[in-house]
Amino acid sequence: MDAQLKRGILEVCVLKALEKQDSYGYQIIKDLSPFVLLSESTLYPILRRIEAAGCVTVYSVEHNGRLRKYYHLTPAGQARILDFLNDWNEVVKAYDFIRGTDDEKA
Amino acid sequence: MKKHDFILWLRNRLSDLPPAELDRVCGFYANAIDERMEDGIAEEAAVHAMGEPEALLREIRATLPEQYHIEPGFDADPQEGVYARRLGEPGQAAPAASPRRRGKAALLIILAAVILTLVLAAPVVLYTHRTISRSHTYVEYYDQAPNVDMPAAADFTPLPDPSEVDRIVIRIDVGTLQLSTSTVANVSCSDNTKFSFGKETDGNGFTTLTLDAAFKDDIFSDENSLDVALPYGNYELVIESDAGSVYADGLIARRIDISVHAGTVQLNCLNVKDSLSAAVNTGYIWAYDIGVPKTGSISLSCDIGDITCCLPGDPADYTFNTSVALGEMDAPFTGGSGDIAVDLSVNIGNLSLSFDQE
Repeated sequence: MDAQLKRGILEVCVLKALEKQDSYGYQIIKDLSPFVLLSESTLYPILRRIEAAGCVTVYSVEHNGRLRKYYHLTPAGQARILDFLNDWNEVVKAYDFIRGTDDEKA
Repeated sequence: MKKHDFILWLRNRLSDLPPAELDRVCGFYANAIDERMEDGIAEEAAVHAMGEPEALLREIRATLPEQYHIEPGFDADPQEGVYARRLGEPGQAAPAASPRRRGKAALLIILAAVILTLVLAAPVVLYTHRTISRSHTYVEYYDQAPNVDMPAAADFTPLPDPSEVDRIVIRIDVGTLQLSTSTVANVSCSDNTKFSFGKETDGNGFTTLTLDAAFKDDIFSDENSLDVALPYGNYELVIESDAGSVYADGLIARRIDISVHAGTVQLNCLNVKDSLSAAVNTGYIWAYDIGVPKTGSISLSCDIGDITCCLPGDPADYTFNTSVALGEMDAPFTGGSGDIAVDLSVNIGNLSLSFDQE
């Protein structure tokens, strides 16, 4: 899959994982594992980007003697999810067009 | 690969990053490893799950401004797709000292001048500079393949579990004390260092873990060093040093008290539940991002020398008491009615106070 496309999809997946409740890195990876494979090396830059974009805010909670960072979805993050879903219809149309062309060649 | 080794390796490979960014990265990965271990995954498997090391570094650097995209000492080889070492064969030291090493060298020069002044003023032992190799250098093996061997584990000695003690006292006479965090308390040292530790409980059930370090040759060297790694905990941490540097990074404790007769104290991203104090007779204190709750306090004092302090959050949360008897004060915050008491005093020297309101 194209790297840019994959990156965009993964970002929205992470935002979606935060829609119902705030969460933290490892829990996000576990929640997404049935759908997408993520490691911390992939997740860290995603979290940095969506935080910089204002899609999430971050806060710390003490847990077992350490500080666990929780991520909270903002209205901007919610809007990003909706934009993705709306844009996906365009992607599907393009996909159908491309696939239709390949079927003709076959 | 243990978590402590991995985090230290990460810090070493990202040592050119701004301190706050470096702590953010290392904190993220330290927490990620802890989460997996809490989930029942073995420590080394948890570290392995963080991903392929070089790819991990590339991803981290790609999130930063362009100046940090290429690691110092490396050339980016777009055809190879990996970083090729600019100089030397695998295993050789990096061609240029990292900013942290250059800063450490500058501090040692200042310390040498301070000690010489003390020798002229009073009958004290004369310290001579000698280079002695460390017993626990982190040897890094680089090649041009994507998979890079992680650094060899250092020779650590486990310490008693700090969750079972009320106070930890660390005493060193001369040299460098480096304090960092780890899931398991441990200590390591350079070749010419000896240490001993013991645990005592008094009649009231108050338990103290004491770690004493001395340097075998009684000769000051920038390689006389003690590394202590401690997990986060609810203990008091007391550090006493005659001459040398104390670096404390990322600790969480109930209370931290540091006293250095002649030398430097550098504190980075510490969190205390009650109070933090650091006192240097002659030298320098640098404190960045010290977190205390609203009932806590911070006290930094330097008789002869400078204090540079950058605190987190909103100045309105603090009440300041700052003083410089002879020197310059760059502290735009005085008085106040916040709940966190901050006491900064310099007798002869300069004081700088700022805020990181990120």
